[in-house]
Formats: sequence, structure tokens, C-alpha cells
Amino acid sequence: MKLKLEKNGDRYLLDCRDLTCPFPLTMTKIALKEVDSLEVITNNPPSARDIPEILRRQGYEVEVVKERNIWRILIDKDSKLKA
Amino acid sequence: MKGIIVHSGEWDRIYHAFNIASVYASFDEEVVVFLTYWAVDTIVSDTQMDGRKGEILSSAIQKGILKRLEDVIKMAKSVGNVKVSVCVTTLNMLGIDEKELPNWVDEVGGLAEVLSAETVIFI
Repeated sequence: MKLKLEKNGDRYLLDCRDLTCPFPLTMTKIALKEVDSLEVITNNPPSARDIPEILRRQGYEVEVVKERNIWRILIDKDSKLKA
Repeated sequence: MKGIIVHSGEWDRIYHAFNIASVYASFDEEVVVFLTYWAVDTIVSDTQMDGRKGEILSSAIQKGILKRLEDVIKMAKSVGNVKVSVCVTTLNMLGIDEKELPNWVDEVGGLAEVLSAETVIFI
């Protein structure tokens, strides 16, 4: 399955607004097969909580920025995962 | 490895089995989904749910809350290592030829592989 990812500066953008579990997580994982730096936008609170936790456990660097009704999840593969 | 045995032919149970598979795959777990009995009948005959449940599910698909079953299965397989196995005994019982199976089925197999998983879910 190929996702539509927009380039947004140094990152690719995955807009998951209005998608609920498990799609923001599963689409994020599919996107990370293609790109090393990703920004995921979600307005689904469980996804905003779970995606960072799961990815950090897997060795990704993750930052979460809350903006009004959405979360921007900034994800980077570290050097080990890029290999 | 995680194993999911899907015996039920109810659309929503099969759908949710693949949601579970996709989340396990997101954890980088290997997953085997073993379709048996009425689950095989449903996927080959493309049976949808009827009545009130069917109306609710169709509406949720139209609104984008749920996806089509085939799309959820393909998504689960795209996330990671999700293998779909179909019960050989069921094929014989239902008189289904292997060629009639959807192209997202990986193999015709038996219970031993899925039961060797460290966790097995029966649906």
C-alpha cells in the first residue's frame, strides 16, 4: 500500500485528521518504511498518546506539539534505524 | 509471533481481527492470521452483514470511519510481517478451490503454525 505523503520542508507530512484507531498508527508505520523524517497530524487523542510511546520504544526520536485541536507528531529515525 | 484464528464468518469480527493484526504489526511483531470455517466462506463469497448492523457498518464505511475489509487487510500486510493462512480442511469442507481465494491470502495451511505463536487469539 502506497500513501500520499506531502513534502513539508525537511519532513514529509502525513495528515491523519479525522482518522481514528488504528489508522493513524498503521499509516505512520507504513510511511516510515518510505521516509526518515515525518510529521503526522492527528486530532485523535489516543493516537496522540500511543504513537509517540510506541515509536520511542522502537528507537525513534519523537516530539509532540499540541496546537488547539490537533497534535503534530514529529518523528525522526535515529542513525541506527536508518542503516 | 502472534497468532489470530478467525473462525467466525461475521464481517465485523473478521474486520477487527485484521485491525488487531495491523496493530501487532505496528509493534514490529510477526503475525499469522489463520482463517477457518465461516471466515473462509465470508471472504470467498464476499458476504456483507445485513440488518441493523449492516446499515451501521455501511454508513461508517461511507463516512470514512471504517474501511472496506479488503483495504484493511492490505493495510495490515503493508504495515509489517502479517501472513494470511487459510485452513485446508475448510476448503475441502466448503468445496472451494485454492484458485478462488483472494490474492491477499499467502498460503493454505494448518493449525500447527498458528498454534506455535506465543500468543493466540481465537475469534
